[in-house]
Amino acid sequence: MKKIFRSSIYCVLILALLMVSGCWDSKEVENLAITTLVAWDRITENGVDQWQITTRILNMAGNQGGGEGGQKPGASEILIKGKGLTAQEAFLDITKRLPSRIFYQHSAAMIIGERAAKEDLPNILSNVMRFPGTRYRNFILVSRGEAFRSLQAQPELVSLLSKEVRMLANRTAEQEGASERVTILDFARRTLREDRDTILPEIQIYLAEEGEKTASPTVLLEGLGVIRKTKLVGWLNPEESLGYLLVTGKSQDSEIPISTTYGGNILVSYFLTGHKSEIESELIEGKPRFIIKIKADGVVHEINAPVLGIEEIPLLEEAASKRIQEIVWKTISKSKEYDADFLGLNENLHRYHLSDWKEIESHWRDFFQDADIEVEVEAKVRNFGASTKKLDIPQ
Amino acid sequence: MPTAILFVPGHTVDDAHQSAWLTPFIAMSVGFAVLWIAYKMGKRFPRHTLIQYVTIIFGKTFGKILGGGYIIFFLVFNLLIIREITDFLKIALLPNTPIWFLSLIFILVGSYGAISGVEVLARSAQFVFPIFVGGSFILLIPALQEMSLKELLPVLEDGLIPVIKASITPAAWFGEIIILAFLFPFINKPNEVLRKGSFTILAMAAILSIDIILALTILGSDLPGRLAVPTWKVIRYLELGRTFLRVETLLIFLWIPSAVIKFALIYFLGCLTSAQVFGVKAQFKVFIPMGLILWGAASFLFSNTIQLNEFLNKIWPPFAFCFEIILPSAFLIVSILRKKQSR
Repeated sequence: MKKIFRSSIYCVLILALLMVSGCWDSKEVENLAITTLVAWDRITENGVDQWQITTRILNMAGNQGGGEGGQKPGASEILIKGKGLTAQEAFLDITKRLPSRIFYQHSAAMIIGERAAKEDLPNILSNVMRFPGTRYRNFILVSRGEAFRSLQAQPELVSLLSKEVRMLANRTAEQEGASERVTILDFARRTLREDRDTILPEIQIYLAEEGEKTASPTVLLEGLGVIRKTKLVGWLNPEESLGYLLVTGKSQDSEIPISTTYGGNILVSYFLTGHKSEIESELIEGKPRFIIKIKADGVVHEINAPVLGIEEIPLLEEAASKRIQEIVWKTISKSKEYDADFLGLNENLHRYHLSDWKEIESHWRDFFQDADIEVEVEAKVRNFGASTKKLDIPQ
Repeated sequence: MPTAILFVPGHTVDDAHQSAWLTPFIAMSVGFAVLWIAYKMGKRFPRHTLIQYVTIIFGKTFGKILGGGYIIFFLVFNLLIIREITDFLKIALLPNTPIWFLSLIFILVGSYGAISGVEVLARSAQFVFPIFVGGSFILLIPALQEMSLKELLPVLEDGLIPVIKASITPAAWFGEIIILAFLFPFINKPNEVLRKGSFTILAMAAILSIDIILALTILGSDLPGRLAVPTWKVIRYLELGRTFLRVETLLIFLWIPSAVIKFALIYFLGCLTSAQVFGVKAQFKVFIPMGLILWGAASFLFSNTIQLNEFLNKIWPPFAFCFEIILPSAFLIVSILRKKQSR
């Protein structure tokens, strides 16, 4: 009797192994259509406003063939488009055509088209945040014009466009001072705060010039789109974007050349390798006052005259500080122009000076235009590359 | 605790925003009060469970009615544990698998633990707990570089009141220590209960607080209150370089055993209570009807996570407080007044 009981238990346990495949949620990798990039656009077709969703999907079949034959190894991606009255209908339009189940969890980035960012950003954001499969670490970008066009671009040095976009967004853009690294989580976190506005990194299309031997068109990340509350209101050019990074960020291994002149008009390139910034805020007679303090570290390799010596350092530092200040001021004036506090100045006031913040909390936007803003920059020149003394190269 | 880690951040952040990490330390006081009451009662009746000494204090009829109340308490308690587990699995991993199937599996495994008795459960808890805590701390390492501590500022933006309000839900979790009153006869070193119990409460408060800080510093002060399972989103966000991705599966792996043990323990206590109330000698007979009731209730009582969260936030705390602190303290007062104790 006991033996039968035991053996029946073992049978049940072994049968239970069958369930390990995932019950109702069993999915085979071969049957997945893995999306890597998703573009969200608003378009008007036949007088009807619609969503247009474009995705890059990993091409599994191409991948298998690539291994054996003499073709270029590595995966490839297909590009497909769906349309619908709601975003989900547009997604359905895509899935209808696919023989396999679509899988969003692995995508690298989402790109929002200009019109969608102007009209329907809250909808996109809530859609993405609620979808259980979203990884908050995915990057979020905005493009001028239709986002669809940036998905048509070709990868340059890696096999997949998605990989290229991910690498650009993850490291390159911020390191080179071109744009910020913004994940879905970063964006959502800033958008949900009522005491600030935010930005989105801009993805651009680059057309190869004649004679360049590379794929074309390709993408690059440069510039920022300004989001006021939840609407795209304007753009920052590369210089203003650099100013944004200098104010908000902290960098350790950046490689940003900033050109400036000193001592009359000797052109010199200050090579920024790292910086730290700090915002101080207070309320003076009901008027907010912000002090932005930036400490920059850099080296100088390139100069238009053979004068690099230790005695030049203070002059070079002064010139670099002045130039950085100028760049930051351009960003600040753009911030006032768009009436969007994307630098997070008021957030700082809220966090560190609660009682001051309570005074202006309900109408802080009214004060932003005539807030006192000061910029203090302390740029240091660490070395002149590999030389310690003047290189007397005859001009 | 395994269930608290998943659901408490959401409940507390909703009210207390960036100050939510303080709530476990306020809620902890309820835990200490309940522990003290359970300990005092255990001292007075060292060989009896709560149900048995309630009968001694109040006489048979009234004792049975109160016992019936506790059966319902354990049923609801258990039902919530199952729902928390299954809802989480449904959100996180198995969106297409029906709840009835998930809860059936949990009840089957849990009943096996409950039938084996309290000793087996204690031993397995001893085995699982260090792995659970150790594993969670390993997950903390990638979290450290993502944390932005300024999300915790400004501290106490709207004063203490929202924080106290937000403490109510976790307080119900801390009150769960009332199960000691049912376990007292099984404990072989009753004198250490107070010391070890206090240590447990402190450790739990610290772990919960770290958990909430993680949710706050990574997700910000608004988002956790709006997500169904914020801890899950935090873990999903973590990665160690580009090598260790998708670490969230590890969390589930660690979390399910501890959740099953909690379920099995409460299941065991529910059955023990009903056996004692109805005077059934063989506890075994109670398991099957209890299991069936739980299965049915878990599958059909709540239709979604929103309802579950509403229940956990609004209805469960007062209900739980009633059985966790109000009734036990009444028992203690009455037993002192009527000078009842077993010898």
